[in-house]
Amino acid sequence: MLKPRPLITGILLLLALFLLHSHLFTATDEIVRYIKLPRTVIGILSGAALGIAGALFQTVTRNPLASPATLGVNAGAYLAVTAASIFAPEIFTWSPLLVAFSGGLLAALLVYAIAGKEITPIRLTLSGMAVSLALAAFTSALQLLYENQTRDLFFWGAGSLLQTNWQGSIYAAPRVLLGAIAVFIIAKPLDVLLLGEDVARSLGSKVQWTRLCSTLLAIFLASVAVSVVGPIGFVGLVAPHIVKLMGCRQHQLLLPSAAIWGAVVLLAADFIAQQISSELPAGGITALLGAPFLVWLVRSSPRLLSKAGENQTLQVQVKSGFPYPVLLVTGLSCLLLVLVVGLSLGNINLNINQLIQVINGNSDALTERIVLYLRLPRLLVALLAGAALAISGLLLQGIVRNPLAGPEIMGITSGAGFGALLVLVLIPNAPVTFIPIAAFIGAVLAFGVVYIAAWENGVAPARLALVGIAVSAFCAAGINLLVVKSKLQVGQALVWLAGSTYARQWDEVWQLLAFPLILLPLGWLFARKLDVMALGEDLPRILGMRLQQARGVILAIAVALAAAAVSTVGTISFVGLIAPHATRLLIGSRHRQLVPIAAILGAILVTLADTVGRVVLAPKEIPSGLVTALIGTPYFLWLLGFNRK
Amino acid sequence: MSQFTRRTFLTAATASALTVACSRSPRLQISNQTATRVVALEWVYAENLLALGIQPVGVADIQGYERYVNVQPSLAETVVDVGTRQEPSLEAIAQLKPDLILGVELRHQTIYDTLSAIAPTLIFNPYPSAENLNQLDEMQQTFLKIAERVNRRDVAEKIIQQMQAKFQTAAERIKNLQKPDFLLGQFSDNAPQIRLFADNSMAAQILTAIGLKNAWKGEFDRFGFNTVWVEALPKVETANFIYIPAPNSPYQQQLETNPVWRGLEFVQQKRLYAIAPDTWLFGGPLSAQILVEKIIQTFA
Repeated sequence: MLKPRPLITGILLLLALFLLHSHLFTATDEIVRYIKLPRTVIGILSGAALGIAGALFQTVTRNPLASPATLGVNAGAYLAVTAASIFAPEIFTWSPLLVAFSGGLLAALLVYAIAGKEITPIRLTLSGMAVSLALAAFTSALQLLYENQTRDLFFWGAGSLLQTNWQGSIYAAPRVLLGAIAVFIIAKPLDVLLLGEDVARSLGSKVQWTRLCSTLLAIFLASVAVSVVGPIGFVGLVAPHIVKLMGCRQHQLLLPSAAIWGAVVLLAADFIAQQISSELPAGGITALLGAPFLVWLVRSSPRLLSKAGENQTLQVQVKSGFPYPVLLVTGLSCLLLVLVVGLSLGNINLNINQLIQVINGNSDALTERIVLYLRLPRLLVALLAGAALAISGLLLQGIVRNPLAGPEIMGITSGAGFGALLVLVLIPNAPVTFIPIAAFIGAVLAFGVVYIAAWENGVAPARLALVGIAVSAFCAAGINLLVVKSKLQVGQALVWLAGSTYARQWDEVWQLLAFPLILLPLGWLFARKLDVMALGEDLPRILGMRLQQARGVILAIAVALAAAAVSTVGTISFVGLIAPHATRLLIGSRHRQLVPIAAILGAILVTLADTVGRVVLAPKEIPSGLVTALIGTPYFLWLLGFNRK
Repeated sequence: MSQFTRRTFLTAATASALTVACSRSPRLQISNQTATRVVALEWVYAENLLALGIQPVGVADIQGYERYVNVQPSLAETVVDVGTRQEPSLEAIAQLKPDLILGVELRHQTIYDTLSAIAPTLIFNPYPSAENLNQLDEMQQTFLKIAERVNRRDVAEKIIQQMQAKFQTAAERIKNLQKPDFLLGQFSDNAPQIRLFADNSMAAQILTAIGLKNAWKGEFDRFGFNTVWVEALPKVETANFIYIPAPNSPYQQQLETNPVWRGLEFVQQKRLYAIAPDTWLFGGPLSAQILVEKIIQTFA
């Protein structure tokens, strides 16, 4: 029995917003017809597309944290638009819509292709996250190297409904309508899919076929949306949840309701954004509003969304075959090698003899300055930060039992970014030492909010993850808005956000050192508990573990490590997410072994990134955070492919 | 009875620490020697050095400089590129063994200490946040300060006089303009945006110096411009619209067919004055003179 309550309330709200947003009765005729009304219509069309796409992704990947951005559509579109603006401006001039659309589409198809022949939800999700990060890193790199050509793209990149004529709506309407019709066809089979793969198969449903069609449909709709309004990230995540939390489960009702509520969220966000300031992009506001709302919904619903996201670890039959001690020693030697290479390469390349001379004190002033004061501190900071972030990610993934967990998801990274940018953009006269402090405070505060908001007789992992995403999105939106506001200071903001070991001095080494030195051994000691905690909620208690206390301690360690690292090097966003997975693919899932190897892997990754960033385009510098994504992703995807069951 | 409590002590200590930290005067590496090997980490300072007849030894982002700042004389082939303006390669700078480094506050304040360790460093702030500070004055003062360090003060003063003279002649030529109200806008290449320059921007101040009146009063922004689109224009439609077009922008093309734009007074009365798309509005005295020349050309 279909309960149409979400649909009806949605439609009523939409009508109200339509009148308000288009200023139908309050602005002059021409402005309404050519500026406001197109904007409203585009908002409805893209909001609906995003809502449907989000609902489809969440069903197909069986992960409540999935959204259109998860499969790389937004990242692909942004990269295409940025690259076209710089290298092929004529194509951009001819049709910016097509450029964005093809970018989004290609990226998502790439993700799909990489996930392999056997598309399991977890593979798709991980592949999507990795590719998104890599593409976003490429985009950031281009923005930093071609600052003047790309400076105005941030507005689009934050998601904007601005329209100058009806072209956008004419382009989007038939496509969204097409998608909506296709959706009706696919609704029933999706319900069957929800019962689980084996059940679905035994009921005669063609599982792979349904998945493929839904994914392609979702990709198509998401690409259409991003091509007309830019990457808007929160609508596709939150609209399906709103509808589900209103009690709607069947796809025949869920999908249309998600469309309506997607439109509602987007229009509401844009309306509010316009009231505050005309320079405010809608995408920035969607998360600022949607996040608290999502947190409220999560808290007020005792029966949360399906726990499908949990326990989705990669089936690791892996074992690359190397025993643990061998891996440990190899890892450490690699690290040492990378350090030596890092000290020798750069604007001038040195050989081993020269390095030895510097250590002996026999070298000239310039070489000594370069090795001891310009290169060594950077490499050490990179090493420490890499290890800290990798372990932080590992611990968080263990606590939340979701492969997408990491400092990014718990709000730590974005909280730090938000804090740093607040000082950078709003208090430009503050002394520079305030920035890392603000970052640290931001990280800890953001996580504090996440923890408190998720607390209800203890912290359930699924709720923690979802609230974490909400707070992260909130801070990320704040960051986007501050970037748009930063104008000529955008280079500085971008570098900090990309994560960079540039110009790190010995001061920063000492500041950072204490944290990993104390917390890494502690983390290793407590990590064993994670093996037990992976068994679920009840089993550990039965086995006598004080679950909440253990969780609290491990979380504290993870947060402190991440906050320290991020406030020193900025938001390096790849290591904490992917490094633990890579380690698992190498060595299995016993945390006692995972911790040291993950730390070494993280250290190698960031140190290598520092060197590569300095050398590849010398004298131009690519921030380490971007290089980690660019190196790490292919490696990780290769591991993923190598590990097909 | 001593009122010196722990609280008082802590407050005093924090206050003095903050005062020291907040003091913006650069660490003095006092040297009376003329600087000959100068590294410029922002384009306007490279332009200033060239105006004074000096080739810098290193400049950040030479490709960008040549593309966006087109003034004569140009950089010699021997000038070394030291990386991006935001993250110049410290090694490359150190290798050049400079005796003066010029940076800008919004990018290089964080690396001031590191730069000072390599060579005496001057950091300028062309975008002061206080509302009563003048970007045009700052530009001239910075120019003179740089000239002092390279011992070309007389050349600098001559150039500034030349610039003022140019303003005078320009003011004469447009004295008879019916409406001195103007808007100065810059279209974006790849977004539906127009930068409208406010009173505190150097560009608007140059236009005011030649006798025009800025009709745009947006909210205060330290960089001197507000980013708007067509909806903001009806309320200032009586002014002349001086603009730097972006010929490849699909959005500017869309605007030209938009009825709201076509209905604006300055569009209908053809009071649209386009200046060359490669005009640079953030430069030094030479760029200022070129800007004035271009404006006069369009009004002629």
